[in-house]
Amino acid sequence: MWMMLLNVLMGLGLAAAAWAVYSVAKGYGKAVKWWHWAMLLVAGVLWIVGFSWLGAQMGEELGGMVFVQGALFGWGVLFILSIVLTLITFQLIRRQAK
Amino acid sequence: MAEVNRRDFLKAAGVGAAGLSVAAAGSYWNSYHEGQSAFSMQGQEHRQGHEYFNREPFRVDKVTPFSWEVIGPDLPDNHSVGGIHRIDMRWYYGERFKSAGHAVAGSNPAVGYDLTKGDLDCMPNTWPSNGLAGLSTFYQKYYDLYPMMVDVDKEYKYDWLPQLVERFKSSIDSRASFNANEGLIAMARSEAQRAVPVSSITTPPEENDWSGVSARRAVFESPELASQLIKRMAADLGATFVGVTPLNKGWVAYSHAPLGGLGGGTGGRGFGLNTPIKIPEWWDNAILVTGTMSWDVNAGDPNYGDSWTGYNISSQIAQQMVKFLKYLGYPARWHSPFGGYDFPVPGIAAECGMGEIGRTSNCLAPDFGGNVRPAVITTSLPLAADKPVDFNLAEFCSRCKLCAQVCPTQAISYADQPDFEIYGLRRFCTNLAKCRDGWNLGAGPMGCRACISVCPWTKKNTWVHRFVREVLSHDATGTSQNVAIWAERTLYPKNYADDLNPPNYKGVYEPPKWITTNEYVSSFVNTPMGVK
Repeated sequence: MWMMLLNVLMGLGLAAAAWAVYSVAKGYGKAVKWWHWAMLLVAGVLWIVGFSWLGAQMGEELGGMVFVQGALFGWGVLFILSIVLTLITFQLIRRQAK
Repeated sequence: MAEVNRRDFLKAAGVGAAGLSVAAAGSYWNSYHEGQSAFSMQGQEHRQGHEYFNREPFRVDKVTPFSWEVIGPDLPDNHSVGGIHRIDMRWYYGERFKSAGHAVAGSNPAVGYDLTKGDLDCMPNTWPSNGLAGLSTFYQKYYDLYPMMVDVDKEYKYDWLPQLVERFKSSIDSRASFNANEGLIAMARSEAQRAVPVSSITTPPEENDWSGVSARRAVFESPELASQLIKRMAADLGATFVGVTPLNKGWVAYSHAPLGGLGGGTGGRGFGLNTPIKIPEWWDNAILVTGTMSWDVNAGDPNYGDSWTGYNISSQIAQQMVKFLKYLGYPARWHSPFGGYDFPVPGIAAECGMGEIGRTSNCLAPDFGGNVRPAVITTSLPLAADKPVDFNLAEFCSRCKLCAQVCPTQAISYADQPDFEIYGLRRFCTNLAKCRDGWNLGAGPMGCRACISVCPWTKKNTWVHRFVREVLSHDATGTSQNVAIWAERTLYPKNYADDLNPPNYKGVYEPPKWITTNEYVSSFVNTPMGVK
């Protein structure tokens, strides 16, 4: 049951993040086009997968946390990709012609 | 241009950050739970027929050349089938080198080597001045058949073994100390695993296979349905994998020998010793079942884990399946770790689609890696056969070589491709005599299994590893293999070769805390026997 609630919360969390993007963009008079949403969706997936990778590897706890390096490396790559993609999307939204 | 006031901006940013935090925490926790869960470990969670790797997209008509390519030639006198040389167990390392043996945990360690018996070995203590002509007629024929073994055995006997024996003898005390202290719980666990024995087969097939067979035979609607039932039954009994293949008679041993492994310890499983085995007519099909060893314990091999867990599971299932088949009116015989075998298993495991034969000469499964302990049931029940699989192991094994690097006795080939020709097969050269000696050199429960622990395919079945397995199996370019091997080497530290040997006695990975004595035991006293 807790897992199900957690999944619902995760969905609500992502929805909240999407609302935040839409709200700020609208405030500045910018439109969020479908491809912006697509890019943000990819960034969101990378975000989720990154933390999921981190959790799965840390959870294994094989031989005195031998997975820590691999866990942090995989998470780091995905985390950075997610942030970079989000920043690019913000820039595209910000700089789009009226 | 519209503006956003500070309050609205902070509100949106706060909601967004909170949302992302919840999503991150949720995904982390979900997967952390999976990583810790016993259900992602390689064990009996499969027992209701659940498999973590879908083999169907990887089915092929023939076993891949990587998995022991048959090169022949055929031998006379029923000594080979289809180019595969039926193994005369006097060829085996235990028979070739009688001066060395298994120093089973708990026995007198010095029993491992008796070089005074060196002249009983296939090669005498001094290499004959007339070369191979100075060996016994039997081993002259052996080395004529398999000339690549001459250098392998000479290097073992004259260079390697004397040094190994010195090292073995000088480490007897440290090994005993490890077993009595740091390795105590591992040893106790191993003894517990062996406490409930599985029967050995000691009678010939005419007697054993037909004993207890119902006079009323159940005739199945179709071989497909029979296979379906057999698989469901074996899974119900705890098998992690079940495969069916027509028995390739080429794998059946030519004869058993006293120290030759397979059926040696059981007196030849009713076939007798050094006597040609007549393959029964009713050995039509082979049903292969597997059990796995405790995954986290075996990560601490070679000095903490054991083989008995897997041995127990597959031996018991095989024996139970024999009962099941006999009840249905079919003759059956088990070939299992505790019951002895009438054939080596890797070829059968590859033919029934369990996996492919890797660098270690073991059949590696896409979902368990090397963590499989197979048993086989031979029967006349008509069954639909499974096809072999090609999950791209050749691409991986040819690059990885971690098992060769980690091996405490360096018994595993470093060649890029299978390059050794023996028994009518082209395969990697695995020096089984050195491998056996690695068992003796290690502390803790008998055996080593370091190659199994280190194999990158021997991983938990979390989503991460399932995903990587799929990518590696589908990618024929070698790119993902290179990335995975780089990551395995760089990001997951492990101990290699001599770190595992005396006086270090480390595991490939650290053993789990639950198997480490000093986590639980504070001191030792004399047991007040019969008092309390």
